[in-house]
Formats: sequence, structure tokens, C-alpha cells
Amino acid sequence: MHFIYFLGRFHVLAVHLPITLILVVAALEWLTRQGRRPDLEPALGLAWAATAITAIGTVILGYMHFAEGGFQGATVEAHRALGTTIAVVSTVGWIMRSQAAILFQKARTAIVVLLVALVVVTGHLGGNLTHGSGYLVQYAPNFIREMAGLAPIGPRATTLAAADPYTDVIAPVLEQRCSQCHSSSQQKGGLDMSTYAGLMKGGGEGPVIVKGNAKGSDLIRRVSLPETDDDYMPKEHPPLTADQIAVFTWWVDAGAKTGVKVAALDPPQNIQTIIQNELNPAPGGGAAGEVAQQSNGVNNKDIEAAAKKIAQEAELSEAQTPKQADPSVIAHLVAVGFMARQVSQGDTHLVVSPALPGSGFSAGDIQTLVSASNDQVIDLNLADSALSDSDIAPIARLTALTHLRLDDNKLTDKSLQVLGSLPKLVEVNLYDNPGITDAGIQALAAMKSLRRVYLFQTGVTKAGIAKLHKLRPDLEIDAGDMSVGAGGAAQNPDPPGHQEQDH
Amino acid sequence: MKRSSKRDGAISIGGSDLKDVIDGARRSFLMKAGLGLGVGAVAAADVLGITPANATIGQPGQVGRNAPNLGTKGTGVYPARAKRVIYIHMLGANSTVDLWDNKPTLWKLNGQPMPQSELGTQKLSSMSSGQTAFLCAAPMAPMHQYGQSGVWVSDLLPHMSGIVDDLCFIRSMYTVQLNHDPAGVLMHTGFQLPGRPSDGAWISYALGNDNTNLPSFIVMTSGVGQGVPLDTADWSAGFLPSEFQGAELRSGVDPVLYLNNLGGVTSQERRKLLDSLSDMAKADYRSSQDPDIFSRIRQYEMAYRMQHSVPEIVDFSDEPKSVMDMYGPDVIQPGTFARNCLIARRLSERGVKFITLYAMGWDHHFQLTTLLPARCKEFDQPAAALIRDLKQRGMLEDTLVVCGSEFGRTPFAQGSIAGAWGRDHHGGNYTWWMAGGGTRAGYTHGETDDFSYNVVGKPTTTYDLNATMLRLLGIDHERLTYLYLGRNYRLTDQFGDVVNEVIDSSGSSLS
Repeated sequence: MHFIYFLGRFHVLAVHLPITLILVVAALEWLTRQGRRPDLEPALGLAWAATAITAIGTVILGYMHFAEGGFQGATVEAHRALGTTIAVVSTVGWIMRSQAAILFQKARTAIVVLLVALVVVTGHLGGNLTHGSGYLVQYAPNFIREMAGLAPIGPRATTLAAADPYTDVIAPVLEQRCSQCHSSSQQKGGLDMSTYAGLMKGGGEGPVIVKGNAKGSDLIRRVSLPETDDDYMPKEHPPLTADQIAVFTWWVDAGAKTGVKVAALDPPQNIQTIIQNELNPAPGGGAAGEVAQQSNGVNNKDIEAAAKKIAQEAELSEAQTPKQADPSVIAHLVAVGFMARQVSQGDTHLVVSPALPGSGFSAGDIQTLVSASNDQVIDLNLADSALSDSDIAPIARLTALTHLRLDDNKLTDKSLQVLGSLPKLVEVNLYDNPGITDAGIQALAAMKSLRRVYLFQTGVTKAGIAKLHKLRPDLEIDAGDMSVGAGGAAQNPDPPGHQEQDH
Repeated sequence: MKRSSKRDGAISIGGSDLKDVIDGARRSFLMKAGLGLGVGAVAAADVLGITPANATIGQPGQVGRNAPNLGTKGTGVYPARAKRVIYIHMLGANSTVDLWDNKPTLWKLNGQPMPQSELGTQKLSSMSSGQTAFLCAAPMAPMHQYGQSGVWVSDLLPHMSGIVDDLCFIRSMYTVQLNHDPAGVLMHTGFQLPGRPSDGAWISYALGNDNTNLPSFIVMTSGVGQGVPLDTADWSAGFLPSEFQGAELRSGVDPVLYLNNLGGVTSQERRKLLDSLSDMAKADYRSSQDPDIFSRIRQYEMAYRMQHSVPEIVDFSDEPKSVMDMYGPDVIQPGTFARNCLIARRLSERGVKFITLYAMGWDHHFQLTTLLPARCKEFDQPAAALIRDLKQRGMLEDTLVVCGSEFGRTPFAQGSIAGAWGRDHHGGNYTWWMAGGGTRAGYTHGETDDFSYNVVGKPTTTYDLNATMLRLLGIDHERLTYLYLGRNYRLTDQFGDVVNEVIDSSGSSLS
């Protein structure tokens, strides 16, 4: 018997053959009317034969499918009767055409029109059986829905105050998850869930909803069962979501009402949230919804203002007329082993670094750099260049300098006196100069424009850092694990804000 | 994603832009038909860097025949906040729902089906789309909040949790590509089919290098891909001149094979050989006018200079023990992520513009519970050490570190949750982090929903990420173009918006 059911399910596939062939036959009959296009005549005999044979085959498969059970009601009766009629009519047409050509010519138009009409109606009924009766018109314009006897779709309620618990919350889920088997046309178990009345009436085994008693309601029991249970619903489909079950349970307990508003039933907070989300579905696939509140305490307004500022800065840069730094200055720098770039296409101040990092510079090289570009250099990298205090003495004349890297050299506190005369210095990197000690703290603190200093791997002690911080609380001091200022926060892995995950 | 209309294709050549030598050569090729041979010879001298002004570069005892490589633009439109990039690609797609994106809902509903409303119509990979159930799977390990920023971090990343205040997170990344290779190629080149120039190639092309003796774009790999392809298209130069392609350092003991001269060949002889080759190339150029000849000669020259520069890069004898310890015990093993991180720091110090580190082996469809902790153990300490190390040297300020994967992984389990389950590919949302280079430390951009399945605020694409990266380097992503087959191409294709929120506004490094 199972093999019969297996074959029966091919009905929904095979049915497309006679449908197509009937339309082909109709087209050919029309083209060859009154002796036109005699070249197409030979195709007609074949088309009629194929139509009749496939129609008979499909009807047989259809009866097998019906034998499986579960199809009840007027729709399936009509579909069966009309389908059988198609097989009969097409067979009659085929035989008449080959055996009684003159008779056929008289009845030809009537037979073809009848077949096409039958196939349209039968096909539609079949579609209703497999997809549910609302399928075709679900998204139809309202005037078509009204012709089909359905309620027009209004703008869907989006707030709890406007939403009806049945129409706006429960019914859409029923339509999506249940109506394929429990509708007016396909009432498996005698249950029609497409209307409120049908839902309250219940099925062959009695009511599925007991108002005010979710625990005693068969619907709630079945959708809550594990998928492997015999009574589980929706059968052979994924279960309802936890949220959906929660909302159904709440609705039944609250009396399974319709004609009121959700807000009037005063649902608990979690149900309110779920319904709110159902009423306002978030677009999937990463599309933007409402900007959620930042979880990490950063103030959104400040961030937005900052972002605006960044965007404005960008616009200003873009608007600047391109200018070119003096090529002779650059040539001088290149000649002694530096690489020089402009700050940006509109700003000819120079960013200077070694062309071969780590290869070192002589006092003469530094001298050349300074005399060629004294008011041009804004950012200078002299890291890992084997420099001593005397070598860097000339850089005191780089009056525009804001950023200076001197890390990994052989400098001592004496150099800090030199740096003190740079009027615009914002940041200096002294990392890995063991000769810089606590004795230089006073000189660093005296640099008015300075905002950030790197002192890791120098001779400066923790006490020295503390002293500098006291003298210049505005200064960001990065000294590895002794850091102070804005940069020091990350060194503390377990701050007061630490919270346990709740689970 | 907006389609850009602004100045598309208008290459701004102004300010300190150096002569666009490549286009110069191209032009001279076109002029050959009308003007004869003379023009080409001039361009050749120019390009080979043998003009008198350039010939003096370099220190005594160093090999230096070329002028500094400032790229074709030298500098961007904006003052640069970052001077170089270290790009960590966790190949295979790390599970950010386990590591960064804390969702109490997943703990609560562990083992229960994801709501249908949540799954929606989002595309699933064919590896899990046939599953009958999509059960929520709680993260591998508990998460806690760290730092002043209060960022949630998994217990699998104990070292990263100590530096969260230096990081800037983008939680709202999403992508349309769910297969490793196209998603990775899309991320690196702005297009999902191979053939376009990669991020590092574009940046080298624009800005050149800050070290004459090393390639401007270096690629290193660690770990095992486990079937996830490592596609050379990710560091290809595409249609840009071939010298901008990423130079791959091998993961073995010798980062470059055959680097040393053959026995009996001295450095002087090698030099003479290259000079002769160069002469022949010039002759070749006079007849063929093919600009690619210069690319090749420049690469010969680069290889020659790397004979000196590369052995020193991987010689850690000058690193103090404290630094070695910081990166963890793996740092002495060739081919580990730890060692690559330390090499990356050393390359950054020496001015390499763009370094891509591939940390492979994150494609955990199955056995997530054992594989993810193992990968995290290899990754956590070195990655955190890299940030700390750069920071205490004062280099984090102008070194942009970006880290993430080609996509994320599903909050639901792939396979039976009772067995060796894993997580499938997920493009709906995933987390990236950035550090330094002018990014806003301690900030988290974008929001995901309660299941870490969809983006609900500030969606960000790989185009946006690339546009932002270029912006931090001073480049307008809409103006960095290359004319090829009649069209001006960009790294961001036709999309991308700079994410201004992730840029630190408290003052640029060049205010």
C-alpha cells in the first residue's frame, strides 16, 4: 500500500503534462481552423493522443494520492470529478478525431473550449488543495480579495493599543503554520483553523481550545510536544517557536478573545515584547533597523558629534588645492638617507623618516636635515639611528615639529634640554633610551605643548613617573605596565566594572 | 552602500604627488607610434632609478640604488592617521558569537530551536540549510566584561580581555558571500571573483614603502587551512604592475628560499650580474616599450636587497626575554602565529606598509568544542602581545591593526548538538576589531539582535571597512583609481562609506 502512496504523490508532478498538452492542442486546433496551416495537421493527431494518455495516467495517480487519506470536503470531490471528466473528454476527442473526422469537425470548438475550461478550474482546485485556499489571493489587491469573498487587507496594526489579539497576532501564525492542513478546503481531523469560529468549534475529537485554560487546550498541548510524538503538531513540519507558543498560551489563558485590543488584556512584559516584535518585524539579512543603544556606556550623541567632526575634516582636506613641497628640500633630505612625504596633498609640511630604518645617521646628516628643512618638518622619525646627545642638538631648530620619535638611541637627560626649545612638540617617543632617567622629569614637565610621552625601557622609575604625573596631570605617559593617563586604563584586567555573566 | 558619483575616476595629481612612473611608461608606449623611440629611453632611465639625483641614496655599506619608493601618490588627500597596516585574517571564519558578541538569550535557549521569526529569509549555507532543526547553541565558554569600556570577552581569550580598551569593535559586519574563497577575495579586493588588485597592492601602489630594502606588502601564514583555500588572489596585484603583489614570507625556518648566493658567487658578482641584466632590460625596453620590464627589474633589485634585509628580520637575538615571553612559548617555532606576530612588529618598525597575517584553521563546522579553544590558545596571547608591544613602543598610534574573518558563524548548531557539533557559515553579522592607527579605542560600533543573527544597528560591509582603512592612511577611496580596460577601478568597487564613528576625533597624529 505504501508503494501506491509513493506513486500517488507523483500526481502533483504528472498533472502538469496534460495541462500543457491541452493548451497545446487548443493552440494547434485554433491555428489549423478552416483549413489554415495544413502543415501543422500531422502534429494534432499526436498531440491528442498524448493528451488523452497523460490525462488518464494522471487521473490514476490522482486516485492513488487520494487513497492516502486526509483530503476531505467539497474541493477534493470537485477536483476528482472534474479531473476524471478531463480524462474522459480528451479520450473521446482523440477517438472521434481519428475514427469520425466529420463528426469531430462539428463538435471541435465545443470540445476544445470545454477542455480548456475544465483544466483551468480543476487546476485551480488542485492548487487550493496543496497550497491552501488563501494562497493565490494572499497578496492580491483588495478588489480581487473581495471578489473571492475574503476580508480586505487593511494596514496592519503595529502597536499593542491598536492590535486585535486574534486578527493581528494569532491568525497570521495559524495562516502561516496551520492552514495548509486545517482550512475550509482541507479539514484534516475535521478541523478548520482559517476562521475564529472554526478554531473555537474544534475538530472531530472535540474542541482544541478551552477558553481561559491553556493547559487543558489540545492545541497548546500538541504544539508543545516533542517533534517525535505521534500527537505533535504541525505534523512533519518544524515546531512553532518558543515565542509563538508563549503568545498562544497567554492568549488562551486570557480567554482567547477577539474584538478587543491587546493592550486592554494587559499582557506581561515578555509577551508584550514578543508581540511588539511580531507586529514590527525586523528586516532580515543585515539591513538597518533602529540604532540600538550602545551597550558599553559610550554616549551615542558624543560619538555622532565626533563622527560629524571627522567627516567635516575630511571635506576640508578634500577642498584644499594641491600644493607641492619644495623639490630641492626633498632632494637634500634624500641625499643623506631620509624619506620625506608631505602631510597631505594640500599641506606641504613634511613627514620625515629614514629610507633605510636601522642604518643610523651621523651628526652631519642631522645637520643637513635641519638646515634644509628647518620650518618644514612636522613629524620626524629618528628611531633606531644610533644617535647620541650631541648628534641631535641641531633639531632644536625644527620649529614646526609636533611629533618626534627618538626611540632606541643612546640619548641621556641632556637631550631633554634640547627638546625643551621645540615650541610645538606634542608627542615624543623616548622608548629604549636607558640614559633618560628621573633627573630628566623636570625638563619633560616643562614642555608646555607636550601631550604624550613614551618612557618604557628608559631609566625612569615608577617614582619618576608618579612625579611627572603630579607635575603634569594632563600628560599621557606610556611606560608599559607603569602607564598613567588616558592610555593606562587597559592595563587593569579586572576593573570595578567587572560583572559576572548571568547564566 | 551608496553608489558613488563623486569624482569617480578623477585621479587627483597634485600636491606632492610624484610622477606617476608607471603611467608615464604607459604613455610613452602609446606615443611610440607617433613620436618614435626617443621618449621611451628617457622613461627607462627614470624608472630604473639611475638618474644622478637618485644614485646617491643609501648608507655606506648598505645596498641602495633606488630612490625611496613613495608610490605613485606619495601621500593621500587627508593627513594620515596610520602609516602602516597589520591585517590579521582569521581564515576559515572565527565564531564571533562565541568570542565577542555576548547574547544571554543563547544561554537561556541553549538546545531549543531558533524562532522562525529570527531565522527569517536569511541565506543559509547549503551545509546546514537541509537541517530539520536549528537549535540555539550557547557560547563555548562564559563571557565577562573587561576594561573601562566594559566589552564582553570570552574566557577563551584571557589575554585579549586585558587590552579591550585599546580595541575598537565593529559588531555589525555583514556579507553576502557565504563561501570562504569568494568572501575572502571580496574582502581583500572589493570583488568576489579573483583578478582585481588586493588591499595591500592598492596601498603599495598609492603610498609605496617606508623602507627601501623591503617589499611594501608582505604576507605570512600560520596554521592549517583544513580544506579552506588560501587564495593568492587575496594578495594579488591584479592589473596593477606586478611589483605591488604581496611578497609571501614562508612559514619555515627560511622565510625566503634561495636567498643566499650560491657557493662561490660573491655579492659583487651578483651586483654585476644585475647591472648587466638591467642594461639588457633597457635595450629590451627601447624595442618593446613594455612597462612590465621595469616591474621585473625592480623585483630583481628588491630580491637583491632582501638578501641583506630579510635574515635580520627573523633574527630575534636582539629581542629581550621579556618581549619573547610576552608573545608566548610558540614564538620560537617557525610557522606559528606567535612568531608571525613578532615578525610583523619587526617589519612595522622597519617601515613595511602593509602586512597580512593569515591565521588559519577557524572553519569549525564540527568539533567546535575542542577546535575553537585550541585555536584561541594559539591566537590569544600573541595577538594581545602584538598590541601591547606596539603600544609600549609608541607605534600603535600610527600602526593600524585590523582583525577578523571573511564571515561569521551561526548561533545555531550545525549537526547534532549531542555529538561533535559545530557552527556553519553565517553572513548575517560578525565582529571585527581594530586597534591603533587613529581608531577610537574602547568603542563598539553597531548592534546585533538577541541571537547574534541579524544586524539591528549600523550595518557595515567589507567595502566600508576598506574605505575606512584607506581613510586612516590618508587616502580617499573614491579617488584612488586605476584605468584598466577602459574603466577606472577602485578597491571599494562602486560602494563603501567611511565609518567616521570608528575614527578617533580627539586629535590626529598630525594636528
